[in-house]
Amino acid sequence: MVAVFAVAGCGGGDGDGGSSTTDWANGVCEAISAWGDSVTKTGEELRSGATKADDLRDAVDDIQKATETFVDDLRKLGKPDTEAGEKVQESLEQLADNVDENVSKMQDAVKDVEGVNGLVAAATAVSTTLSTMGQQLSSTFAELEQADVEGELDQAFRDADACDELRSEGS
Amino acid sequence: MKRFHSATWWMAILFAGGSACFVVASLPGFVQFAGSQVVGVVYFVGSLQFTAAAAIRWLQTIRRFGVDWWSSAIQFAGTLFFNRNTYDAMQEGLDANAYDRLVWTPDVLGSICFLVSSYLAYAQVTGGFVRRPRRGRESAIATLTLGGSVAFGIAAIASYWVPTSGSVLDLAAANGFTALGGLCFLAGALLLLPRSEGSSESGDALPQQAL
Repeated sequence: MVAVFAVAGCGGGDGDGGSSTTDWANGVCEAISAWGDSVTKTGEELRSGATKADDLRDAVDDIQKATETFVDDLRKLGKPDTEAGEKVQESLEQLADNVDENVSKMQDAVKDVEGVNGLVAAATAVSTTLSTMGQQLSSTFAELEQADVEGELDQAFRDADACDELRSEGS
Repeated sequence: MKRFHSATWWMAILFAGGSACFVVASLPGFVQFAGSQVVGVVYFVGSLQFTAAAAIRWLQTIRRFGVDWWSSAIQFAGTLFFNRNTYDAMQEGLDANAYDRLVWTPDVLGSICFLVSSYLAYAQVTGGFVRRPRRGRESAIATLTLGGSVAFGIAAIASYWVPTSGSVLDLAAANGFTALGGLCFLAGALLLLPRSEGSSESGDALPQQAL
Protein backbone atom coordinates (compact mmCIF):
# COMPACT_ATOMS: atom_id res chain seq x y z
CA MET A 1 0.00 0.00 0.00
CA VAL A 2 2.76 2.39 1.00
CA ALA A 3 4.73 1.43 -2.10
CA VAL A 4 1.76 2.25 -4.28
CA PHE A 5 1.51 5.68 -2.75
CA ALA A 6 5.21 6.34 -3.10
CA VAL A 7 5.08 5.37 -6.76
CA ALA A 8 2.14 7.69 -7.26
CA GLY A 9 4.02 10.47 -5.52
CA CYS A 10 7.15 10.01 -7.60
CA GLY A 11 5.71 10.28 -11.08
CA GLY A 12 4.90 13.31 -13.22
CA GLY A 13 6.77 16.48 -14.02
CA ASP A 14 7.58 19.76 -12.29
CA GLY A 15 4.60 21.60 -10.95
CA ASP A 16 4.12 24.67 -8.81
CA GLY A 17 1.98 23.40 -5.95
CA GLY A 18 2.56 26.16 -3.36
CA SER A 19 2.75 25.81 0.44
CA SER A 20 -0.95 25.18 1.08
CA THR A 21 -0.85 22.22 -1.29
CA THR A 22 2.28 20.98 0.46
CA ASP A 23 0.44 21.19 3.80
CA TRP A 24 -2.39 19.24 2.26
CA ALA A 25 0.06 16.60 0.98
CA ASN A 26 1.63 16.45 4.46
CA GLY A 27 -1.81 15.79 5.90
CA VAL A 28 -2.50 12.99 3.42
CA CYS A 29 0.84 11.32 4.12
CA GLU A 30 0.44 11.58 7.90
CA ALA A 31 -3.04 10.07 7.69
CA ILE A 32 -1.90 7.21 5.46
CA SER A 33 1.18 6.56 7.57
CA ALA A 34 -0.76 6.17 10.82
CA TRP A 35 -3.47 4.08 9.20
CA GLY A 36 -0.97 1.96 7.27
CA ASP A 37 0.89 1.06 10.49
CA SER A 38 -2.28 -0.34 12.03
CA VAL A 39 -3.25 -2.26 8.90
CA THR A 40 0.25 -3.66 8.43
CA LYS A 41 0.33 -4.83 12.05
CA THR A 42 -2.89 -6.77 11.56
CA GLY A 43 -1.64 -8.30 8.31
CA GLU A 44 1.53 -9.48 10.05
CA GLU A 45 -0.47 -10.99 12.92
CA LEU A 46 -2.63 -12.91 10.47
CA ARG A 47 0.40 -14.23 8.63
CA SER A 48 2.00 -15.38 11.89
CA GLY A 49 -0.86 -17.90 12.15
CA ALA A 50 -0.83 -17.66 15.95
CA THR A 51 -3.97 -15.53 15.92
CA LYS A 52 -6.79 -16.56 18.24
CA ALA A 53 -10.36 -15.33 17.96
CA ASP A 54 -9.88 -12.62 20.62
CA ASP A 55 -6.64 -11.45 18.98
CA LEU A 56 -8.46 -11.15 15.66
CA ARG A 57 -11.28 -9.14 17.22
CA ASP A 58 -8.77 -6.86 18.96
CA ALA A 59 -6.88 -6.37 15.70
CA VAL A 60 -10.06 -5.43 13.83
CA ASP A 61 -10.99 -3.05 16.67
CA ASP A 62 -7.57 -1.40 16.26
CA ILE A 63 -8.13 -1.12 12.50
CA GLN A 64 -11.58 0.34 13.11
CA LYS A 65 -10.18 3.05 15.41
CA ALA A 66 -7.31 3.82 13.03
CA THR A 67 -9.72 3.95 10.10
CA GLU A 68 -12.07 6.31 11.92
CA THR A 69 -9.15 8.68 12.44
CA PHE A 70 -7.97 8.19 8.87
CA VAL A 71 -11.38 8.91 7.37
CA ASP A 72 -11.87 11.98 9.61
CA ASP A 73 -8.43 13.28 8.69
CA LEU A 74 -9.03 12.80 4.97
CA ARG A 75 -12.38 14.58 5.15
CA LYS A 76 -10.94 17.46 7.20
CA LEU A 77 -8.22 18.01 4.61
CA GLY A 78 -10.75 19.25 2.11
CA LYS A 79 -9.59 19.88 -1.40
CA PRO A 80 -6.04 20.85 -2.38
CA ASP A 81 -5.44 24.23 -3.92
CA THR A 82 -4.75 22.87 -7.37
CA GLU A 83 -6.37 22.80 -10.78
CA ALA A 84 -7.84 19.36 -10.15
CA GLY A 85 -8.67 20.04 -6.48
CA GLU A 86 -12.36 19.17 -6.86
CA LYS A 87 -11.63 15.85 -8.55
CA VAL A 88 -8.95 14.98 -5.99
CA GLN A 89 -11.32 15.65 -3.12
CA GLU A 90 -14.00 13.48 -4.73
CA SER A 91 -11.53 10.61 -5.09
CA LEU A 92 -10.44 10.86 -1.48
CA GLU A 93 -14.06 11.08 -0.28
CA GLN A 94 -14.78 7.93 -2.24
CA LEU A 95 -11.75 6.22 -0.72
CA ALA A 96 -12.91 7.22 2.77
CA ASP A 97 -16.38 5.75 2.11
CA ASN A 98 -14.94 2.51 0.71
CA VAL A 99 -12.53 2.07 3.59
CA ASP A 100 -15.33 2.73 6.09
CA GLU A 101 -17.53 0.12 4.41
CA ASN A 102 -14.74 -2.46 4.38
CA VAL A 103 -14.05 -2.00 8.06
CA SER A 104 -17.74 -2.69 8.75
CA LYS A 105 -17.40 -5.91 6.72
CA MET A 106 -14.40 -6.95 8.82
CA GLN A 107 -16.28 -6.23 12.04
CA ASP A 108 -19.20 -8.37 10.85
CA ALA A 109 -16.80 -11.19 9.95
CA VAL A 110 -15.19 -11.34 13.40
CA LYS A 111 -18.27 -10.55 15.49
CA ASP A 112 -19.42 -14.05 16.46
CA VAL A 113 -16.38 -16.15 15.72
CA GLU A 114 -16.53 -19.54 17.45
CA GLY A 115 -14.24 -22.52 16.90
CA VAL A 116 -11.12 -22.80 14.80
CA ASN A 117 -13.17 -23.17 11.60
CA GLY A 118 -14.93 -19.88 12.30
CA LEU A 119 -11.62 -18.26 13.18
CA VAL A 120 -10.03 -19.32 9.91
CA ALA A 121 -13.04 -18.16 7.88
CA ALA A 122 -13.03 -14.79 9.68
CA ALA A 123 -9.27 -14.38 9.26
CA THR A 124 -9.67 -15.12 5.55
CA ALA A 125 -12.43 -12.50 5.28
CA VAL A 126 -10.24 -9.93 7.08
CA SER A 127 -7.23 -10.79 4.92
CA THR A 128 -9.27 -10.50 1.71
CA THR A 129 -10.77 -7.19 2.84
CA LEU A 130 -7.34 -5.79 3.69
CA SER A 131 -6.20 -6.71 0.21
CA THR A 132 -9.26 -5.01 -1.28
CA MET A 133 -8.50 -1.86 0.71
CA GLY A 134 -4.96 -1.91 -0.63
CA GLN A 135 -6.30 -2.09 -4.18
CA GLN A 136 -8.73 0.76 -3.47
CA LEU A 137 -5.90 2.93 -2.15
CA SER A 138 -3.85 2.05 -5.19
CA SER A 139 -6.62 2.92 -7.64
CA THR A 140 -7.33 6.18 -5.78
CA PHE A 141 -3.75 7.27 -6.30
CA ALA A 142 -3.90 6.23 -9.92
CA GLU A 143 -6.92 8.54 -10.23
CA LEU A 144 -5.03 11.37 -8.51
CA GLU A 145 -2.10 10.87 -10.86
CA GLN A 146 -4.41 11.08 -13.85
CA ALA A 147 -6.12 14.18 -12.50
CA ASP A 148 -2.82 15.90 -11.72
CA VAL A 149 -2.13 16.99 -15.29
CA GLU A 150 -0.14 20.04 -14.17
CA GLY A 151 2.04 17.99 -11.81
CA GLU A 152 1.13 20.24 -8.86
CA LEU A 153 0.26 17.38 -6.54
CA ASP A 154 3.35 15.48 -7.50
CA GLN A 155 5.51 18.44 -6.51
CA ALA A 156 3.59 18.90 -3.27
CA PHE A 157 4.12 15.24 -2.34
CA ARG A 158 7.83 15.65 -3.07
CA ASP A 159 8.01 18.76 -0.87
CA ALA A 160 5.99 17.32 2.02
CA ASP A 161 8.23 16.10 4.88
CA ALA A 162 5.67 13.55 6.09
CA CYS A 163 5.86 11.87 2.69
CA ASP A 164 9.63 11.25 2.92
CA GLU A 165 9.19 8.26 5.21
CA LEU A 166 6.49 6.74 3.01
CA ARG A 167 8.64 7.27 -0.05
CA SER A 168 11.62 5.55 1.57
CA GLU A 169 9.44 2.63 2.73
CA GLY A 170 8.04 2.27 -0.74
CA SER A 171 11.32 2.42 -2.62
CA MET B 1 -49.24 -53.23 13.37
CA LYS B 2 -45.88 -51.57 13.79
CA ARG B 3 -43.82 -51.40 10.61
CA PHE B 4 -40.07 -51.53 10.51
CA HIS B 5 -38.12 -49.83 7.81
CA SER B 6 -35.38 -51.70 6.03
CA ALA B 7 -31.70 -51.08 6.74
CA THR B 8 -31.41 -49.54 3.29
CA TRP B 9 -34.19 -47.09 4.13
CA TRP B 10 -32.34 -46.00 7.28
CA MET B 11 -29.07 -45.79 5.39
CA ALA B 12 -30.64 -43.61 2.71
CA ILE B 13 -32.33 -41.35 5.28
CA LEU B 14 -29.12 -40.93 7.27
CA PHE B 15 -27.06 -40.21 4.15
CA ALA B 16 -29.73 -37.72 3.04
CA GLY B 17 -29.78 -36.08 6.49
CA GLY B 18 -25.99 -35.84 6.63
CA SER B 19 -25.84 -34.42 3.10
CA ALA B 20 -28.56 -31.88 3.87
CA CYS B 21 -26.57 -30.73 6.92
CA PHE B 22 -23.45 -30.23 4.79
CA VAL B 23 -25.44 -28.34 2.15
CA VAL B 24 -27.11 -26.04 4.68
CA ALA B 25 -23.92 -25.36 6.65
CA SER B 26 -22.01 -24.36 3.52
CA LEU B 27 -24.73 -22.16 2.04
CA PRO B 28 -23.66 -18.53 1.49
CA GLY B 29 -24.92 -16.35 4.31
CA PHE B 30 -25.71 -19.20 6.71
CA VAL B 31 -22.73 -18.42 8.91
CA GLN B 32 -23.81 -14.76 9.13
CA PHE B 33 -27.37 -15.84 9.89
CA ALA B 34 -26.68 -18.57 12.44
CA GLY B 35 -23.15 -17.88 13.68
CA SER B 36 -20.07 -20.04 13.33
CA GLN B 37 -20.88 -22.13 16.43
CA VAL B 38 -24.18 -23.31 14.90
CA VAL B 39 -22.44 -23.98 11.58
CA GLY B 40 -19.89 -26.14 13.41
CA VAL B 41 -22.65 -28.11 15.16
CA VAL B 42 -24.57 -28.64 11.89
CA TYR B 43 -21.43 -30.01 10.20
CA PHE B 44 -20.75 -32.30 13.15
CA VAL B 45 -24.32 -33.62 13.26
CA GLY B 46 -24.14 -34.20 9.51
CA SER B 47 -20.90 -36.14 9.87
CA LEU B 48 -22.44 -38.34 12.60
CA GLN B 49 -25.31 -39.18 10.27
CA PHE B 50 -22.80 -40.05 7.54
CA THR B 51 -21.01 -42.35 10.00
CA ALA B 52 -24.24 -44.10 11.02
CA ALA B 53 -25.22 -44.56 7.37
CA ALA B 54 -21.77 -45.83 6.41
CA ALA B 55 -21.80 -48.22 9.37
CA ILE B 56 -25.13 -49.68 8.20
CA ARG B 57 -23.73 -50.07 4.69
CA TRP B 58 -20.61 -51.76 5.99
CA LEU B 59 -22.63 -54.12 8.21
CA GLN B 60 -24.69 -55.09 5.18
CA THR B 61 -21.54 -56.17 3.35
CA ILE B 62 -19.76 -57.80 6.26
CA ARG B 63 -20.47 -61.34 5.02
CA ARG B 64 -19.63 -60.53 1.42
CA PHE B 65 -15.92 -59.84 1.43
CA GLY B 66 -15.02 -58.23 -1.87
CA VAL B 67 -15.03 -54.88 -3.66
CA ASP B 68 -18.28 -53.87 -1.98
CA TRP B 69 -16.85 -54.66 1.44
CA TRP B 70 -13.72 -52.61 0.74
CA SER B 71 -15.78 -49.74 -0.62
CA SER B 72 -18.04 -49.60 2.42
CA ALA B 73 -15.19 -50.10 4.91
CA ILE B 74 -13.15 -47.28 3.35
CA GLN B 75 -16.20 -45.04 3.29
CA PHE B 76 -16.81 -45.81 6.98
CA ALA B 77 -13.20 -44.89 7.77
CA GLY B 78 -13.69 -41.64 5.81
CA THR B 79 -16.72 -40.72 7.89
CA LEU B 80 -14.67 -41.23 11.07
CA PHE B 81 -12.13 -38.73 9.72
CA PHE B 82 -15.01 -36.31 9.05
CA ASN B 83 -16.20 -36.82 12.65
CA ARG B 84 -12.76 -35.87 13.88
CA ASN B 85 -12.46 -32.91 11.52
CA THR B 86 -15.89 -31.45 12.28
CA TYR B 87 -15.47 -32.02 16.04
CA ASP B 88 -12.10 -30.28 16.12
CA ALA B 89 -13.50 -27.42 14.05
CA MET B 90 -15.79 -26.53 16.97
CA GLN B 91 -12.97 -26.26 19.50
CA GLU B 92 -12.41 -22.90 21.14
CA GLY B 93 -9.14 -21.24 22.05
CA LEU B 94 -7.12 -22.67 19.17
CA ASP B 95 -5.05 -20.48 16.91
CA ALA B 96 -5.03 -20.61 13.14
CA ASN B 97 -1.85 -22.71 13.15
CA ALA B 98 -3.79 -25.60 14.70
CA TYR B 99 -6.36 -25.59 11.89
CA ASP B 100 -4.29 -27.40 9.23
CA ARG B 101 -3.30 -30.13 11.67
CA LEU B 102 -6.60 -30.67 13.46
CA VAL B 103 -9.19 -29.77 10.85
CA TRP B 104 -7.69 -29.75 7.39
CA THR B 105 -5.66 -33.00 7.57
CA PRO B 106 -8.57 -35.23 8.68
CA ASP B 107 -10.75 -33.46 6.09
CA VAL B 108 -8.34 -34.39 3.30
CA LEU B 109 -7.98 -37.97 4.60
CA GLY B 110 -11.77 -38.33 4.79
CA SER B 111 -12.11 -36.96 1.28
CA ILE B 112 -9.51 -39.41 -0.05
CA CYS B 113 -11.40 -42.28 1.60
CA PHE B 114 -14.67 -41.08 0.03
CA LEU B 115 -13.01 -40.81 -3.39
CA VAL B 116 -11.54 -44.32 -3.23
CA SER B 117 -14.75 -45.80 -1.85
CA SER B 118 -17.03 -44.17 -4.39
CA TYR B 119 -14.69 -45.05 -7.24
CA LEU B 120 -14.72 -48.71 -6.18
CA ALA B 121 -18.52 -48.59 -6.00
CA TYR B 122 -18.70 -46.88 -9.39
CA ALA B 123 -16.41 -49.51 -10.94
CA GLN B 124 -18.49 -52.29 -9.46
CA VAL B 125 -21.74 -50.86 -10.80
CA THR B 126 -20.42 -50.00 -14.25
CA GLY B 127 -18.48 -53.26 -14.54
CA GLY B 128 -15.02 -51.75 -14.90
CA PHE B 129 -12.71 -49.05 -13.62
CA VAL B 130 -12.86 -46.95 -16.76
CA ARG B 131 -16.31 -47.84 -18.06
CA ARG B 132 -18.89 -45.18 -18.84
CA PRO B 133 -21.94 -45.19 -16.57
CA ARG B 134 -24.91 -47.21 -17.81
CA ARG B 135 -28.43 -45.89 -17.78
CA GLY B 136 -30.37 -46.74 -14.67
CA ARG B 137 -30.91 -45.91 -11.06
CA GLU B 138 -27.90 -47.83 -9.79
CA SER B 139 -25.51 -46.09 -12.16
CA ALA B 140 -27.04 -42.72 -11.36
CA ILE B 141 -26.45 -43.25 -7.65
CA ALA B 142 -22.86 -44.39 -8.24
CA THR B 143 -22.17 -41.43 -10.53
CA LEU B 144 -23.70 -38.93 -8.10
CA THR B 145 -21.71 -40.37 -5.22
CA LEU B 146 -18.48 -40.23 -7.21
CA GLY B 147 -19.29 -36.65 -8.26
CA GLY B 148 -20.00 -35.74 -4.64
CA SER B 149 -16.70 -37.24 -3.52
CA VAL B 150 -14.79 -35.31 -6.18
CA ALA B 151 -16.51 -32.10 -5.03
CA PHE B 152 -15.64 -32.85 -1.38
CA GLY B 153 -12.03 -33.45 -2.46
CA ILE B 154 -11.84 -30.10 -4.26
CA ALA B 155 -13.43 -28.40 -1.24
CA ALA B 156 -10.82 -29.97 1.04
CA ILE B 157 -7.95 -28.69 -1.13
CA ALA B 158 -9.51 -25.22 -1.33
CA SER B 159 -9.82 -25.01 2.45
CA TYR B 160 -6.08 -25.27 3.11
CA TRP B 161 -4.89 -22.49 5.42
CA VAL B 162 -1.90 -20.76 3.81
CA PRO B 163 0.15 -19.35 6.69
CA THR B 164 2.11 -16.94 4.49
CA SER B 165 -1.06 -15.25 3.23
CA GLY B 166 -3.01 -15.46 6.48
CA SER B 167 -6.03 -16.90 4.71
CA VAL B 168 -7.64 -20.04 3.37
CA LEU B 169 -6.67 -20.95 -0.22
CA ASP B 170 -10.17 -20.25 -1.57
CA LEU B 171 -12.97 -20.01 0.97
CA ALA B 172 -15.71 -19.50 -1.62
CA ALA B 173 -14.61 -22.60 -3.55
CA ALA B 174 -14.38 -24.58 -0.31
CA ASN B 175 -17.97 -23.71 0.60
CA GLY B 176 -19.28 -23.97 -2.96
CA PHE B 177 -17.83 -27.44 -3.57
CA THR B 178 -18.94 -28.66 -0.14
CA ALA B 179 -22.48 -27.58 -1.02
CA LEU B 180 -22.21 -29.22 -4.45
CA GLY B 181 -20.85 -32.44 -2.95
CA GLY B 182 -23.63 -32.44 -0.36
CA LEU B 183 -26.24 -31.98 -3.10
CA CYS B 184 -24.82 -34.91 -5.09
CA PHE B 185 -24.90 -37.15 -2.00
CA LEU B 186 -28.40 -35.94 -1.16
CA ALA B 187 -29.67 -36.78 -4.64
CA GLY B 188 -27.95 -40.18 -4.52
CA ALA B 189 -29.41 -40.93 -1.09
CA LEU B 190 -32.93 -39.97 -2.19
CA LEU B 191 -32.61 -42.24 -5.23
CA LEU B 192 -31.65 -45.03 -2.87
CA LEU B 193 -34.92 -44.74 -0.96
CA PRO B 194 -37.39 -47.52 -1.75
CA ARG B 195 -40.02 -46.26 -4.19
CA SER B 196 -42.88 -46.84 -1.74
CA GLU B 197 -43.50 -47.92 1.82
CA GLY B 198 -44.67 -51.28 0.48
CA SER B 199 -41.32 -51.94 -1.02
CA SER B 200 -39.52 -51.54 2.29
CA GLU B 201 -39.46 -55.28 2.77
CA SER B 202 -37.33 -55.63 -0.30
CA GLY B 203 -35.30 -52.54 0.46
CA ASP B 204 -32.12 -54.49 1.04
CA ALA B 205 -32.21 -55.61 -2.56
CA LEU B 206 -31.78 -52.01 -3.65
CA PRO B 207 -28.45 -50.88 -4.99
CA GLN B 208 -26.81 -49.78 -1.73
CA GLN B 209 -23.45 -50.89 -3.12
CA ALA B 210 -23.68 -47.92 -5.49
CA LEU B 211 -23.17 -45.45 -2.65
